[in-house]
Amino acid sequence: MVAPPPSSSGGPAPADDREPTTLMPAWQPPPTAPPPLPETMAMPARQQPAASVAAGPQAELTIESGPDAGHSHRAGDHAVRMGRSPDNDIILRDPATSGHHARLERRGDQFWVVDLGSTNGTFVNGESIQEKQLNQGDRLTLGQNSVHFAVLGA
Amino acid sequence: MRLRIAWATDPGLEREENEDSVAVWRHKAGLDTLIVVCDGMGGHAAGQEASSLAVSTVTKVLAEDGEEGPDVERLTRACKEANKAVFMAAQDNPDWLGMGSTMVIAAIRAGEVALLNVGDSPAYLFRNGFAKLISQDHSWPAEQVRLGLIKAEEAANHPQKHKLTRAVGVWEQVQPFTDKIKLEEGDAVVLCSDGVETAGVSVEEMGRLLLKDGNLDRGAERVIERCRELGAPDNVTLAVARVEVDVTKTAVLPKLKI
Repeated sequence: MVAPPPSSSGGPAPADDREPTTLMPAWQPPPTAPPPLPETMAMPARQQPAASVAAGPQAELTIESGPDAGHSHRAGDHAVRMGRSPDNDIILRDPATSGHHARLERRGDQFWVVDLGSTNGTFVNGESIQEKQLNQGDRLTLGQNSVHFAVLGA
Repeated sequence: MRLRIAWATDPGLEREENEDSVAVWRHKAGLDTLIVVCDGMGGHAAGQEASSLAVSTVTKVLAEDGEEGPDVERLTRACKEANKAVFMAAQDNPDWLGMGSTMVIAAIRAGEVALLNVGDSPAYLFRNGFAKLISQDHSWPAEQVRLGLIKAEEAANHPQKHKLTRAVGVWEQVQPFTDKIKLEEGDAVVLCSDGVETAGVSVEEMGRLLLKDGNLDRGAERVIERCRELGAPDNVTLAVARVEVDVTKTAVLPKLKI
């Protein structure tokens, strides 16, 4: 058993059931309260440069269910990375979504979704895919997020 | 022997972040079913990073080890790799220092489940209406009970209940608990984060909510809804695999509607 020595420093922990799970040796004090996430957390921070000429079709991804339901994201000239890590364009705060889950990219005039080796897979209209060309109205599933794909102006 | 699988998760009412991670695989890695639940800990985004990395490492190892079947040695190797991955990531990034995760895995094939756990995320076996804890609780009071230092009743509401003696990614070594169990028709294996218990939903109530009809997906949602009704102070995640009952051959669970 790797029971580590009981914590030598610090007093007894408060008898609070809601205390976050920590380790017996106080490697570092648990955070007193998680900092509130800014509302914009789930939105991509990057804005498309307004002046740039849209060189091809634009699309919109709308999160229809899951923790970030209601958000919409534009896709077009740049690939859109989706996943749980903060460095994605679309951050999905979902335990079944991988850190870097999938990428939406434009190839010619068509949009493709590519699974990035995610744990639980990427689905298009319920079918598990590695990569797939998307059609208007397709529904992507990443973890518990259902994402609606629409080509703008189509 | 056919299996039904379902899972559900919710951040709860008092947490912004969901630090749990879950994997649900069918017919991959030489298994009929693989379910993994990890509950991360650490400040800011570290808990989420730890649980996410733990799950992705375990599943990757199992997918690529070229082996088959529910073997506890196999799960142990995957767990050790996950421990190494989370430990190294924490060494490399000061924001992630001290992060760690619980881990509970059920790997099922041909009526056998191999189980592995580290930490306090429990696994239960529901059989014929009875629930049994099949994981080992690595909270401080539970270890004290096993050492004979305190009584089980004292552990129930122990102030150190949320202190773990074992975790994935915190130390260079990890010592998982493993077990292998034969499954019977109608059995359900349930893995969850401690958010279910923290919310005040008993094991029996969870079993009733999950299994009261044949709809496992709906059952998992009912557990989440009940946790939220009770305030759900912590993230809640559960994953369940159930051996389907062949209703033409058995009368074990006559009420089951599949």
